[in-house]
Amino acid sequence: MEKIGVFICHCGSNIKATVDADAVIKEIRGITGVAFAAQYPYMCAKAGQSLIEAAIRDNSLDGIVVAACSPRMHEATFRKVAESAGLNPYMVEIANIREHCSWIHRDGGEATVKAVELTRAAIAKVRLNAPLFPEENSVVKRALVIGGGIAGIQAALDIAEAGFEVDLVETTPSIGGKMAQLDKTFPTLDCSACILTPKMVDCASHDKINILTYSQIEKIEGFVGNFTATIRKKARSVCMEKCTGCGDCWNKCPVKKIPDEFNTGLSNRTAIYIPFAQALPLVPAIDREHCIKFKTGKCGLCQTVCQPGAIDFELQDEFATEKYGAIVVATGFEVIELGKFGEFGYDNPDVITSMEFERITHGAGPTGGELVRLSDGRKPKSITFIQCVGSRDITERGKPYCSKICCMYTAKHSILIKDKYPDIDVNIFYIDMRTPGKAYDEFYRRSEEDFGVRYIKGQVGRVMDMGDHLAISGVDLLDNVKLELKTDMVILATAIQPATGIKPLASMLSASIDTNNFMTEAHAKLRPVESPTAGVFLAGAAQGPKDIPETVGQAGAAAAKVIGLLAKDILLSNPCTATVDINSCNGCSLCGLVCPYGAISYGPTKVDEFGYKTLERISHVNQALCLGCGACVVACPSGAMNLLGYTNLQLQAEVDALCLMNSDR
Amino acid sequence: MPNEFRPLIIAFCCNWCSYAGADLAGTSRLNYPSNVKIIKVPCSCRVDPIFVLRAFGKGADGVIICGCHPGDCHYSTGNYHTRRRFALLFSLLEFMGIEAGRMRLEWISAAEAQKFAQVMNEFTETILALGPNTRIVDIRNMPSAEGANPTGRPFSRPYVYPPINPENAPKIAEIEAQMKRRAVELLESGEADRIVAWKKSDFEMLPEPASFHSVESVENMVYNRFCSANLSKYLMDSPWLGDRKFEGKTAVFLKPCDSHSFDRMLKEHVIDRDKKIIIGIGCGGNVHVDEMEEVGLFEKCQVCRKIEHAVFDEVIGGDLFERVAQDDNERFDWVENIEELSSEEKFLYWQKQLSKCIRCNACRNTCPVCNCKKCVFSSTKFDMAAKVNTTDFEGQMFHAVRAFHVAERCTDCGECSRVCPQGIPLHLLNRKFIKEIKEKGDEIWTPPISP
Repeated sequence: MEKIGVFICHCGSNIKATVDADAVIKEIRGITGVAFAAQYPYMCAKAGQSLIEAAIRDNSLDGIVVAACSPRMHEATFRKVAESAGLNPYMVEIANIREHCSWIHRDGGEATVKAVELTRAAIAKVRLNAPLFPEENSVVKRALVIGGGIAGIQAALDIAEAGFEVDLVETTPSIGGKMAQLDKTFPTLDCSACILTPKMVDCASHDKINILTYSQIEKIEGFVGNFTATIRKKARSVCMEKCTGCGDCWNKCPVKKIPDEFNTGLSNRTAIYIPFAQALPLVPAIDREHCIKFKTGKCGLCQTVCQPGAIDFELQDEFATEKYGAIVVATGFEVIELGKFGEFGYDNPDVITSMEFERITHGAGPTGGELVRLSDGRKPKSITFIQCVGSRDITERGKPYCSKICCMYTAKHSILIKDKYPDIDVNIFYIDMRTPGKAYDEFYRRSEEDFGVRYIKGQVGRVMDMGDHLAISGVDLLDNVKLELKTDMVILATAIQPATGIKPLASMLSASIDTNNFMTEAHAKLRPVESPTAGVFLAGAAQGPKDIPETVGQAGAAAAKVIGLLAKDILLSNPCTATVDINSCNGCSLCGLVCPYGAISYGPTKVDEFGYKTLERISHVNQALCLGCGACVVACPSGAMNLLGYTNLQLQAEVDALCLMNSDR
Repeated sequence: MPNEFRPLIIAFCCNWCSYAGADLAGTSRLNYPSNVKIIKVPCSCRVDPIFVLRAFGKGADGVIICGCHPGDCHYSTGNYHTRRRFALLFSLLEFMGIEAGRMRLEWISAAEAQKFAQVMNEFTETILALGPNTRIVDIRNMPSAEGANPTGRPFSRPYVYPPINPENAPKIAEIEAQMKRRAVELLESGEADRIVAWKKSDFEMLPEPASFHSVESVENMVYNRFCSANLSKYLMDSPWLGDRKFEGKTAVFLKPCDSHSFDRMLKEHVIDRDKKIIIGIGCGGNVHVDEMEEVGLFEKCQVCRKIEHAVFDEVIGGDLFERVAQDDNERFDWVENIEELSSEEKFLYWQKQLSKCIRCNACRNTCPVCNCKKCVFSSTKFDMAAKVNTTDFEGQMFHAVRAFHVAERCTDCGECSRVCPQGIPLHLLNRKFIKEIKEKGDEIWTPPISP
C-alpha cells in the first residue's frame, strides 16, 4: 500500500485568497493512498521544505504531491527536498494550483473545486511513479572536427586552446578549404591568405591538434561523450615523416596535364602535387588515377629524384579507429554545376563563375593576377556580373535559398577591378542587393558611389557569343526597359550548396539534413550550432550559407559547446526517456521513423515469453541520445514503447482522475 | 441548479510552449473558465490519440491539444507528428459522427498567454453550445428500433454489386492451370518447401487459404473469382497455418493488390523476404458471396485502378484485370456519400454499424498491416490497458483505434470488410484516412518526417 504525502502551499495569499486550503485537505484525505496531508504558507521556504522533509521521514512516505505554483518554477526545488529526505526525486509530482487555478479563477468555490481536481490528478499520477535513476556515462576527452576549412580550423584551434585533444580530418591533401582559394575578403579587402595561413600554421604546430589530411570518415558509432570513428587515411604514396617539401618531385613529374582543382581547373598540375604553395602539411600526394607509375608500372621519376627517399609506391590506405567525446561537422560548401543554365553560355571561356574569377585575380592564380580574357588573353574593356545564378531559383535546376555571400563578393570583385583598372566598365545585374552585416552596406555603396560600378536591377535572359565580345540581353526593371549590352567578360554569382558527401556523413551521425541537404540545427533560434543529435555540433556553411566572419563566429560557438561538454567527467542522462518492453515489441520500425535523434536501433534480442525462447528483432533505445519527447511511444502500435515519467498508465490515470466528476454520467 | 451543464474540458499542453503559455496566463491574471483542466506532457507528440478517446469515453465534453508553433518544437519535429496524427484522428471522429467542435488542436507559444485564455474561452463556449458528450459512449449501443433515423432518408446509397465480366473466366482458368504446374515444379525441384495458395472446400464459393507441402496436394489447389483472401498475412510466422516458425522456403501467389500488402509487411520487417518466392498472378476481380449466394463484384474491385504488382519474383497472367476505374477518386465515392450526412446522421449510421460488432477480431486477424505479432488488444499485461481502453470496456472504440493504428499504412485491400461476419463496412474508416491524406497533402504532410 503506497503512502502519499500531499502538501498544499498557500503561497502567502496568492493561492489561499481564492482556494480554500482546508477544504482541499479535507477532500483529498479521502483519496486512496493519501497517508499524510498538510498545508503551509510557503512550501518553498526553508521551513516549508523542512516540513516536507520531516513528513517524508516520519511517515515513510513513498511519493509526494506538492500543490503549489507551476512545476516550471519549483519542481526542481521539491525534487531536491525529496532526495535529501531519502526519497527518489522522481517520486514528486506538482499540482499547479496557482498559475492554472487561483490566479485564473475569481470565484473561490470554483477555484477550490478545481484545486481538488488538479491535486487528485497529481495523486493519481504519483501513485504510478517509479523511482528513476539517471545513467552515468563517462566522457572521452577528445574532439573530432570534420572538415579542414576555416570553420574546422577555428573550431579545432579553440578546442585545443582549452586543453583538449582534437583530430582535424580533411579529405584533400591540405587544410585551408575554400578560403585558401580566395584573393581578398570583404568588407576590408584583407588578403585572404594573409589572414588564413597563420591560422593554418597555428593548427599544424599545435601540440593538441592532430591533422589528418587526405582522409575520410568511414564509420561513426556511439553517442554523446562516447563516439567511435573509423577514419580512412588514403594512401598518399609519400612518407609524411621523411618528406621535406622541397618540390623536386612535382617539378620533375612528367604528367603535367591534370586540371588543377585548386585553380578551379583553369591551370594544370602534375600527378604528384601539392594543392597550393602554402599547403599544410607541405607534403605532396600522388594522384594514382593519373600517375604513370600506377597506370603502367613504368616511370618512378619522383622516387629517383627524392633525396630523403620519401616516395613509397607500396603505401596502402590505412584505417584508424579513435574514440571521441564530441564531433564538429564543418564540411563547408561547393558551387553548383551550371550544366542546366544554358542561357548564360557557361561553356564560353569568357563566361566564368565568381570562384574562377577569384583565381584569376589572385596573384598566385593561373594568370599570375593579370585580369585577362581566358579566350584570347586580351584585357577586357567591360565586365558584367550576373547575380543569383541558381540561387533563389525555385525551379528544379536551382536552389530555393539565397546563397547569402554573392552580393558582397560581387561588390568586392567590382571594387577590385575598378581599383586596379578604372577604365573597365563594370555592370552588375541583381535581383535584390542583400547586404546586412557590419560595414557591408557601406562597402556596397562605395562600389557604386566611389567606384562608379553600374548596378542594374533586373535579370539576364541570355548571354551570346559574338566572336570578339559577348552580347547580353536583359531587362532593367527600374527603368522598365529591355537592355542589350556588349561586354567582354561575364561573371556568374553561382549558387552554393553543401559539400558532396554530407548525406552519408549525416546518416552516419544520425544527424538530420534539411531539404537542401544542409545540416539541421537542434533549434533554429536557440541552439543554432548544435545538431539534434547530442554531441554533434555544426560550424560553417555545412549548416547553411555563411560568410567568413559568421563561419568563424559559429566555429567558435561550436567549440565553446564542445569544450563545455568535454569539461565534464560524467554525463548524467535524463532518466525520463523512452523504454521498450521487449516482450511486446514487434520490431516494426515505426518508432525509429519518428525519432528525431536516431536514438532507436534494432537488433536481434533474446526474448523469453512463457518459457518460449526466441531471437526477435527488437527495438532498443539509447538512453544517452533520447531526450524524451514521446513521439515513438505514440507511434508504437503494440504498446511496447513507453516514456518514463509520462507512461501511458500515468497519463491515463490523470485523464481518469480529471474525468471523475463526470464518471456517473 | 442541479441540471446545469458544467462542461469538462481536458487540455493537453506541451511543457515547453503551451504549458508555459498557460502559466503566463496565470501570471498575467487572465481569466478563462475553471472547466478547463490542464495535463502536462513533454511534447504535444506525446499525446496518444487513445488519451483523447479515453477522455471522451470517461465523460470529458471537449479535448484540446496545445503545442509549440510548427517549426518551433523543442524536439525539432514533434509537433509535426502531432499535426498529422490529430488531423487524422479528428477527421475520423468527425466521420463517425462525433461533433467536430469537441476536439481542437492549437499552437500556443510560451508568450501567447492572451491567446491561451482566448482559445480556452472560445472552446468552452463551443462546448457549452454542443452540450454534453454522449456519442462516444453510445456508439456501440444498439440504436432503438423506432426513430433510429429521424431524417427518414437513407444514410448512404446502397452499394450495388455489379456483375463480373464473364469473358475473363477462361483466362482465370488458364492462370489456375499455370499456377498448379508452377507449384508442382517448385515442390519437385525443392526450390520451395511449401506453397501458400487457395484450396478447394466443400463449396465452390468458399476456397480456403492453405499451404501445400506435397506435389499430390497441389491437385486441391484452386484459383477462381472467389479467391479473395489476401495471402500475404498468411506469410507471417503464423499460428493459423500451424507453422509458428516455418524454417523452409515458401512460394506464394499474390494478386496485384495483395502484393502491396506484402510490400508493406516487408517494410515492417514481419516477413523474411529471403525465404519467400513471390509469384504475382493476374486478377479477374473477386466476387462477394452472401448467404451462399453469388452477389457480384466487390466494391474494392469495382474501383480498382489496374494496380501493378509491387513485389514479385515472377508473374503469371499479369495482363489480366477485371476493370479499371477511370479515376483514383472513384474509390472515395462511398466515403463522400457518408461525409455528406449531417453529424447526427453520421453518428446514427456508425452506431447502427458498430453496434453489430461482436468483437470477434476477424478484421484484425486478416489485416495485413495489423501485423503486430503481439497485439495490444490481446495483451495480458495490466499496463497495456492504457493503450487500449477508452472506457472500462476495451471494445468501445476498438474500430477507431484499430483504424488509427494502421493509418498511413493501410494498403486498402478491403479484407477487414470482407471477413466481417456482421457486414460492417470497416474499410471505409481507413479509406477516409487515405482520402484525408490525399486531400490535405502538403498542408499536413510537410515537412516529410519519415523517409
